[in-house]
Amino acid sequence: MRRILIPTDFTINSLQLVEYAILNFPDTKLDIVLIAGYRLPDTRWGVTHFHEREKIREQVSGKFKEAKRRIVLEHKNAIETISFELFTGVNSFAFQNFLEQINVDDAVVPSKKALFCPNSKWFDTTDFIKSNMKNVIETPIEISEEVTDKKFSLISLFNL
Amino acid sequence: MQLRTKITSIFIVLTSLFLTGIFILIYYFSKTYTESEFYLRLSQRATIAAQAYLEADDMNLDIYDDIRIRHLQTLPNEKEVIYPVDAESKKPLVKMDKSLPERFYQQIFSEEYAELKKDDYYYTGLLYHDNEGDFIVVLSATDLYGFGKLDNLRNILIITFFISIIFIFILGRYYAKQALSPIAKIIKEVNSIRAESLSLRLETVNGKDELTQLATTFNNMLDRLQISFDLQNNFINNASHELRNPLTAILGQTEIALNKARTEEEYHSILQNIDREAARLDFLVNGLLKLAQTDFDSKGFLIEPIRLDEMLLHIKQNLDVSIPNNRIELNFEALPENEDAITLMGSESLLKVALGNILENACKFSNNKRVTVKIVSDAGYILLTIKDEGVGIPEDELKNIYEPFFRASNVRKIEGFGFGLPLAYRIIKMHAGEIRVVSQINKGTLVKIKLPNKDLENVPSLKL
Repeated sequence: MRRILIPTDFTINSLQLVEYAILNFPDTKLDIVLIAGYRLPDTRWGVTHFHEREKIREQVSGKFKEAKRRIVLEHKNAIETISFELFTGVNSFAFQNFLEQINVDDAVVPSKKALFCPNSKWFDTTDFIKSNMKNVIETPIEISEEVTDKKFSLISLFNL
Repeated sequence: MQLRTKITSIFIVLTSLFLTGIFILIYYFSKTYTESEFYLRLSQRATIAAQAYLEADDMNLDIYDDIRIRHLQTLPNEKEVIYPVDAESKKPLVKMDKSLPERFYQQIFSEEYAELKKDDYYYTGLLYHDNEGDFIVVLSATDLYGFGKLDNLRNILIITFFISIIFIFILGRYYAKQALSPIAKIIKEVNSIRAESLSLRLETVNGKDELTQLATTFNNMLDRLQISFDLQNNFINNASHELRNPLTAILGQTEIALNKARTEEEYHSILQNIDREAARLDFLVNGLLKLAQTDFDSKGFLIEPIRLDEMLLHIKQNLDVSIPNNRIELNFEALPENEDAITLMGSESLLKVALGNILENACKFSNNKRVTVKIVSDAGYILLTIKDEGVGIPEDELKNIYEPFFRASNVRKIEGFGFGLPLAYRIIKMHAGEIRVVSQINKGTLVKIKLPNKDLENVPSLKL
């Protein structure tokens, strides 16, 4: 079994990377770890009331959950689990420590910048993965309407 | 109306509304302040008047008058009236001025002070207690200075309003022109692009503003248009080229045959070559015909329930004949018990062509490595995944794979015409399905097909 790290922006599009992982590791049971970056709050109140799982739950939409379920159904033989991890560090040292903790073997990342962060608190971990991991597979993923809608929505005006 | 005029007008209307609101507020508060200040002065004068007249026995009346006239300026049209009253029973002892409303006197009795404005006159009333009894002192005057000041303020505000509007109009027009000038430029540039000059692109500057995005969107659209134009041109070139090849071979062979008398074996061999080339031509023309059928005249297909697993078994049997060393593995582990869940309504012959082409491609481009086919049923849809471990499709060519005669750069050596996948794509679309290809070079290709099963309610209508 292999543990694969895949960056996500909680869009159905980003789940294409899971399929690329399946394509790259045939005949292997995969333990997929979806990772997103989140900046810790600045206030003491914010830090003490910060719950990683809650933040992830807020981002996971019904459609995303449905798409994830469908992928697991389609590739039952290849996928063991799909789990989420939140990286809250700010530099490469923090990321290396994070990697030691989650203990992953490989990573599958998009070759072009394709992930969209819902607001300034969230960030794309692709660059951290590329610069800190040895076995990184870069794959093409398409940017669909789903991302562009969010990108140009009214709410994104406030995410300066 | 031009966008520029529209923006300026909206800007002017909004600003004038805002300015009007602000100016009305300024005028209203100035008026309230002036009035309250005048009432204060009136009440002070009423107190002085009361003390001057009613306490004249105790103090010198002349001194009071002197102070009033010298130090406290008399108000315009100032008039003072003193009425003796009985404060306990709240009744006047003499006849009062009836032109003033009764509530004014009542308020004086209850609160010992009252204010009133009637026409241009301001009135204040005081209840004064003296050793001689109770009195009501009513003092009235007009605020000529206050009115003058307010009139002046009103005129200033009106003039300022019109001057601001003129400035806003000029500035608004200028900035609207400045803001819209890139659009005018884009219009000019887009107008200059013709079918012959599709390679021209709009100038884009670095930035993330909407106009840069508009220019980039236009450029992307032009990219797609150019690609589709090129593909169309290529289609004709490729089709004629592919048709010409076997024809040239046939003509060459017949020419050789007719050149001189040949032996029977030679004629036999020549005829065999002609037969092979004619078969190739036949295959090509049939393929083109199917492509044309799915494109234009798609009526007349028999719609029937099809069990996808059975159809895949048939296709596999056929492929076992044409590609004997194929390694197609059908994975029916996740088949549902309800057979309707993997049954769809459609044209069997067309779907056979589509799935057959995809499976054949999977075998062909993976050099007969393992190909796994899996059927899953989920929420009214049949999900079919075909995975091979072949050469894959280069990243930048993925978007062109559904174009007829398009062949990826890494498979030119493998025989084929490039209309298998386009045909499959059209057939699946006709069955209200979806097809998606995930591929990585030298790793393999994953084809995902989603077709509605016959149980699905609100199924998108079949375009057959």
